[in-house]
Amino acid sequence: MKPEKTPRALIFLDFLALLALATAFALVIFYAPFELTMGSVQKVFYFHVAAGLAGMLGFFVATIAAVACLKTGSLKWDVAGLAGVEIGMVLMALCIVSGSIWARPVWNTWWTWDPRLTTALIMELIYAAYLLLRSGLDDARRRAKLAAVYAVVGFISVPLTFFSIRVFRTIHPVMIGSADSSANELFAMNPSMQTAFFSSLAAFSILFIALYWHRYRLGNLQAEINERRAALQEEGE
Amino acid sequence: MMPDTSVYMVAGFLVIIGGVAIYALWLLTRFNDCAKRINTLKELEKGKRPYGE
Repeated sequence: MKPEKTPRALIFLDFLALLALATAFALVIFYAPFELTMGSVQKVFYFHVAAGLAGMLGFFVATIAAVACLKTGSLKWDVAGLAGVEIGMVLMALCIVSGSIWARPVWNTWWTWDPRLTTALIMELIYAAYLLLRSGLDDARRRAKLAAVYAVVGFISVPLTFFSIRVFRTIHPVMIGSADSSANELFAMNPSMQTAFFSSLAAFSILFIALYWHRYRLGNLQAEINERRAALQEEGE
Repeated sequence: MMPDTSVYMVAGFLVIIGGVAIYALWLLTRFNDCAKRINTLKELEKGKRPYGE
C-alpha cells in the first residue's frame, strides 16, 4: 500500500517524457544528417548537450531552493534542494561519460584536461561533496542550513563550467551562442540538426521535471519516516 | 570518406538512455521501500505491534 497516490499530472508527465525522448531519439537517428568528419558518433552530441543542460538546471533549482531554505527555514526547501542536486549529478555524470565516448574517435583520447572537461568534473565533485556533507550531519535543521549555504557557494561552479569554453582556450566545441569565428565552430548546425537538437533539449527538460517531481516526493517520504521514527523513539524512552 | 564511428554512437546512447532508466528504477525502488517503512511505522504508532518488534 502506498501512502499517497501518484498524482495524475505526474503520470501524464512520465508518459510525456517517454514520448518526447522517443521522438527526439527518432529525430536524431533518422532525421538529423550525418556529420561528415565525425560520422555517426556526432549524433550523441544531441543527447549529451541536452543532458548537460538539464543537469545544470538541477543545480540551478537546488540553488533557488537553498536561498528559499535560508530565508524561510522550512525543511521542505531542503528536500527540494537535495532533489535538484541528485538529478543534476546523475544527468551531469551521463553528460561527462557520453562526452568521453564522443571524444575517443574525435580527439583520439577518452579524456583530456581541457578547461570545459576539467570544470565539469570539478562541478560534479563539488556536488558530490554536498551529498557527503549532508550524510555527515544528523540534526535536520543544521544539515538543511549548512547544505543550503554550500549549495549557494557551490553554484559558482555552474556558470564557470558553462562559460569555460568562451573564456578559456579550449578544444571543446561551443554549442550555444557561438558568435566568434574560431576553430570551435566544429558544429555549424543546419535546420534539420537544429530540429533534432531542440527536440532533445525539450525532451530532457520534460524528463528533468518528471524526475524532479518523483525525487521531491521521495524526499518528503524520507522526511516523514525520520519524523515518525523520532516520535516513536521519544515515546519509547 | 566518412569514418565508421557507429560503435561509439551506440555506446553513447546506451550510457545516456541506460543511465536515465537505471536512475528511474532506483527512484522507484527507494519510493516503494519508503512506502513500506511508513506503513510499518504507522502500524507501530497504532499499537498493533509492541514497540521494537
